[in-house]
Amino acid sequence: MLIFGGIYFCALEDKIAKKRSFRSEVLLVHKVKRSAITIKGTKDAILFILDDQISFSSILEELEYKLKHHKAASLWEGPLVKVKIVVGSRKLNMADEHALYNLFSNKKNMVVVDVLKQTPLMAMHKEAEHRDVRVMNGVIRSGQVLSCTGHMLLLGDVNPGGVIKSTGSIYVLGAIKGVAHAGFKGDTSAVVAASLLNPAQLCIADTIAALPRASLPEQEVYLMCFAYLREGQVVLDKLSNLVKIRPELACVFD
Amino acid sequence: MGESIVITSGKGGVGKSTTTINLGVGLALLGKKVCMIDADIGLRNLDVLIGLENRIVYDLVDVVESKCTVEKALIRDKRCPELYLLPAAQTKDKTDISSEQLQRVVIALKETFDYILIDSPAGIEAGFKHAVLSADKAIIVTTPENPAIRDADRVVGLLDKYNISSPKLIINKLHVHMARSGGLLGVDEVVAVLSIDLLGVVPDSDAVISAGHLGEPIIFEKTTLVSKSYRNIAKRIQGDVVPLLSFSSSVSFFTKIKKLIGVV
Repeated sequence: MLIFGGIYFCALEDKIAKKRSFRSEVLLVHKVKRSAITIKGTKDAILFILDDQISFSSILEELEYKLKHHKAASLWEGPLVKVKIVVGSRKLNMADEHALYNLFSNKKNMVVVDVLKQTPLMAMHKEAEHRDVRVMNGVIRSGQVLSCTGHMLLLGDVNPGGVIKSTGSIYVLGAIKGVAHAGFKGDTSAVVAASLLNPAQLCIADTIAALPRASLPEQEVYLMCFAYLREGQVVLDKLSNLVKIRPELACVFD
Repeated sequence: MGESIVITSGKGGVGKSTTTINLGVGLALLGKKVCMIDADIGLRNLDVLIGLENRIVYDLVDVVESKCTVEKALIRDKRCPELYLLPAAQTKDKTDISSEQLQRVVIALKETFDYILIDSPAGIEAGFKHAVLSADKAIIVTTPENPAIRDADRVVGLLDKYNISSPKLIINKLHVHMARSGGLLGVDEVVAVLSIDLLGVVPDSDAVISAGHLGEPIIFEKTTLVSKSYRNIAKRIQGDVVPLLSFSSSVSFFTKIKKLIGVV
């Protein structure tokens, strides 16, 4: 009893230290035995997520172990299940793929239906990041470059010589007189909209357009406009038509 | 404790040096103790514009290199009560001094002067950097032309990077009749693009060129519109509220009368 009591008190005094050491222990375990394969159930299939940072041979090894020799391997027996393999950024050659299919073919009830680059959830996260609207404020002056991922909402002007670029669409409450590049990673559905659209150059995805300069005073035709890609050409239209041309960009109220 | 103001533009030939000497004289005429520093080392011309070329013995680089004291290098302009010029070296280069060295000189001068006007060289390289880093405030000079405005805009951005947050704008060489006919940008359009506070507008005039040629700042010609503009700007620098000059006075007296009685 005494010994037990001693340990108890020790534990109380060194609560924080213990907690710390416990944490580092857990971390250590993870480091040593990082699981090469994560298995997840979704409502229509079982996902086998292969870690793309680990060598393919050790993945095959672990997969074989998990399917055959693991004490819970009997789990895999039963009714027919669909299997989806998520390979991440790894590039599989024919032989690799064959080896993977081979392992699963030993299980009669498991059918590999798909090989994916990313899980549906990962894809959703990416989508969400892309759809995010970043609100920026200030004047983008000559020589300055403002760049962001997702859609950009700029409250301010882009002066001649200034550059704004985003992976999504660009909306400017102000005048664009510099260079605007929407969808600079290749999103051809991106648009550029501004209160006053008079850029030196307008780029959407890989298409570059030089707009005819509005003579001074500013022509009304460039007020409240947006630019989009139609058949590989940058086209201008009234902002009120945005909802017809790119209905996916915004929620429309009834 | 005085304040140091850098006069800069990015583009060359917009009237930085002319603005510097005229504001220097303007502030001195208001009773302030003013020192003008020519930071354009290797291409000095502030002394020529103000007509003090023949009195240079020591220059900025001599001061920086401790070859003489600041007081010794300063040249007093006898036309004003308290106006001094610290000339640039003509035989040296911008890279011969460092920003810290110029800063030290400016800090020393701030003890005795009310205003230190630093005439920045054109461009955004070493000389510009030295001038800007030594200043508390900045005045940006631009002409109402697109290339000048583009460069001024770039400079506003750079000043922000160098922690000078709200520079003031002087629009120089305004062609009144051209702005009115739409052939050139007007004051409002320039201010709208640069979106900084307007300190003043100086109309274009041939008299400025001949004044620079003679080494006699135009601000001494009290009757000219340019002189009035510079005097007003000097007053605004010291904090007075002065309305902008109207340049529409070129309309003849008879036209005004005609307008009054409704003939035109």
